[in-house]
Amino acid sequence: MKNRPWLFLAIVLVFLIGLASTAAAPALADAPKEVRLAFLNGPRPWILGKIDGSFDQAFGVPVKWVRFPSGPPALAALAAGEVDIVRVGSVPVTSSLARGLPFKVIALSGVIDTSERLVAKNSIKTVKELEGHSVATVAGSTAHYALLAAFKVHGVDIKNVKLVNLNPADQLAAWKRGDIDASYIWGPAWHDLEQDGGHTLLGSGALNKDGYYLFNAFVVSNDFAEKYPDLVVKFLEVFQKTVDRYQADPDGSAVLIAKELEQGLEGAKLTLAGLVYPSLTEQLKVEWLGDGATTANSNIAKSFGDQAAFLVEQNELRAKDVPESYAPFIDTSFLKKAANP
Amino acid sequence: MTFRGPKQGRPLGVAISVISVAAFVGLWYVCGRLKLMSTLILPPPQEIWISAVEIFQDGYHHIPLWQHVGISLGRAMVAFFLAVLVGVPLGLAMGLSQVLSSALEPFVQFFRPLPKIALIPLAILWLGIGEVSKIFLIFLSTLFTVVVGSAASVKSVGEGKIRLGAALGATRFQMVWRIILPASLPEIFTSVRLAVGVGWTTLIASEMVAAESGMGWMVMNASSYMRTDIVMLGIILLGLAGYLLDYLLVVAERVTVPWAGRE
Amino acid sequence: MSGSILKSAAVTSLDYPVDDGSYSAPKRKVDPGGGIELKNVSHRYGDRSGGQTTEAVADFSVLIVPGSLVCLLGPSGCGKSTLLNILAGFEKPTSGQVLVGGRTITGPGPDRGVVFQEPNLLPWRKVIGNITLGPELAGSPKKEALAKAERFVELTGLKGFEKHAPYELSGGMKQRVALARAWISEPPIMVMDEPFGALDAQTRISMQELLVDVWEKTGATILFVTHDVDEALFLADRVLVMTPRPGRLARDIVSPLGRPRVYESLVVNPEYAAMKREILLAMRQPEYFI
Repeated sequence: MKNRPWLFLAIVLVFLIGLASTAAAPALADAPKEVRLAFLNGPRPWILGKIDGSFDQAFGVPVKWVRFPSGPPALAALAAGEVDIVRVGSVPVTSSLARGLPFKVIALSGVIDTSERLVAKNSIKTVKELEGHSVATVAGSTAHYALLAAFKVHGVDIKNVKLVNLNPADQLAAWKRGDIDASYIWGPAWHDLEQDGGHTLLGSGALNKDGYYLFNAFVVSNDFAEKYPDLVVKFLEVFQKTVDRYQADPDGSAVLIAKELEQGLEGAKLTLAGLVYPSLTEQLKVEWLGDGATTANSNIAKSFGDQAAFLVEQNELRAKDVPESYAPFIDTSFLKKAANP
Repeated sequence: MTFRGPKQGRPLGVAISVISVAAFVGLWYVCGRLKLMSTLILPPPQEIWISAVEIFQDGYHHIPLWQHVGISLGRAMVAFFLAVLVGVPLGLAMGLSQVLSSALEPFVQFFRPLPKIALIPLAILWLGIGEVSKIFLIFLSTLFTVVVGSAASVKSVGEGKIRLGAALGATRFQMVWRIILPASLPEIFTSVRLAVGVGWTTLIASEMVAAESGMGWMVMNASSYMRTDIVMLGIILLGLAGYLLDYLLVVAERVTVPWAGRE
Repeated sequence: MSGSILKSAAVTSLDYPVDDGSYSAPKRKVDPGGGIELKNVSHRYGDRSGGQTTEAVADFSVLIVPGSLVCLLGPSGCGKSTLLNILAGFEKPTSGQVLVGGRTITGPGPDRGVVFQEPNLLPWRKVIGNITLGPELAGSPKKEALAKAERFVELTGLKGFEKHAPYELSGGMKQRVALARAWISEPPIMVMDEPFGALDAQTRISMQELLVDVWEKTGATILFVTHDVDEALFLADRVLVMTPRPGRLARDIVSPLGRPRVYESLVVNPEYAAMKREILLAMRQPEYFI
């Protein structure tokens, strides 16, 4: 107990981390060695670009695809400088920006319609009937936010519902045992529940009319955006092309994407179809991100604010951490260049 | 680690430990003040302190902090207790019986290194999402280390003591109960301490299963929202609680087997 | 500790003691069950697959009368410990017969007390608890065991140390506990495997004096294994010298030395010197004597 070499090791480690975080601002370079894109398990059109290497071609440097189980660790990797661009859900974006992570939102990768769903046992017919039952979701996810929004919209008293925090991978087991009666979860995870006698009560798109927008966004680290703005524009151009290809041939694209992600075809197909993909031009409208001048009043900026308020209410964020507006974190300059080449 | 006598070099050792920890925290504080690193990547002690005070006053998710600590300790201690209750007799039996040892060894060696996180879906299927499956996961990760350690402790009993028993006419039962078992106790304690360390690391995995409280859950949940201050607070609490558990075992060992390491 | 010897002997004189009438040999009541007979005992160690075997003891025969103190002397690895383990019952001879008190032994038994090279004290028991272990295992009531222990606590000079923990004792004190523990049941035979081998010279001498003292006050036969010639000379009525492996009986010498024996006197005693020479020669050139 007398010698504690680990303490000194830890001190050295603290110094190294400090140095690494201060020294991470090298001079402007023409091109990085590689571009690191973080993707999650959800089937999305941009995976087509992973399959055929069109991102690599457009960048002129290789792309390193890094897989993450969920958004928060991907954003942590972004903060650590381990990845450059991340596709992530809106709730992790909201909390990470409040906590001061150095990145900006550059575009929507898709707006959630039925790709995230509230699935319940067949005996439960309406959202209201969930009172007195157990509902699973992943804490801090867009699905969690959507679930609580759905409760508000349908007048469900949250005190009468047992919320269960479960990873998607563990939900089917709990469902089969009857430990959970419903789940608000993303695809393809809900597909398994529906195959096992579940049915959809609602998709997140149904909440749009009440002002709740759930979406996925592309975010880029400030560092990368400053150094390689051209590559960010190119990234969005290729992304739009993958969406176009998907929309031209949804079934064929689903086959490729499901194979690449090693998932069931049916779940992938339904998930892909469960998202809305506003084009880059459409995203510049105030209905979505706005064009910079209108961004502060855009639906997405407002939605970030709503989600932040929700997280404060949930005791997940401190009120003083939440920015007055999320508009400053939305950078539409890349979108504009990519939409109007 | 053998436990030294209470007087021998203790105050100096404690003083050095205290100074080294204080120096570490001080350095950490200074790094934070000078903004040598992003407070997000490594929150300085002052920010963790503020969060700790907030959570201490208001609780985390409306649950008082001591309840988070208590429920985690409760889960772990029930699991440890059961693991010792099952593992020590099983290990002793394996150490005493070649047949039993050969029969169970493959299972023990298969399960022992298995990451218990892999068993989460099965634990849910078998035991649901309540306390039982959480305790089960910690129990499993503790059990096999206890079994292996207890079996080895029997084998470590010196041939001399066995012969002594034989020369004094001990029956088979007396040999086990009066000689082998007490002689194995120090090693059993060592293996229990080792196992508790292993089991404590499984706490976070176990609280990934539909938990709503506990230190492991607190860390996991806070990390989803990039609340690194709470994550650090949780880590510090987990570390301190683990330290406390180990210390309790050291005290228990000192009381039960004062001769350990002094033969 | 062994006051009777020291008091009666002329410690100041460098002469070997003469019978000046000041010493009367203790009237021992010899335990008649202490006779030992080894008949053509051989022992081989081998791996179980039946490959290479090593002959440790070869055709060893001896007859030991009750009440004697016999030293089994030989170089390291000559099989003397094997022989002792066979007599204690820990090992079975490959061939030959071992009789104790006229009966063939089948394993360890209460008729043979064993003192090992290591004290082998049970660290969770106090000194007194270690001494009473044998009677306790045999089912004697605690009171009875404690009463028995008292005599041996005194004989071995452990008075005042009864409540000590083994780890608080020196090596010599630990070996005293081991002696008392083996002796408390008063077995007719005591088998000792280099019990003082790990002790420093001074402690060893006082332990040897202690051993003789206790032996004289009990009726036991002692078979004492050692590789130390002086130890054998000081202790034994009779010295059995063994050849190196495989262990055979090289010489069987009856000690001409009377008792009490005092080291300081013995070293200038010509009989002592002659016997030591005989033993040393036997150990150096075993083939010559076979």
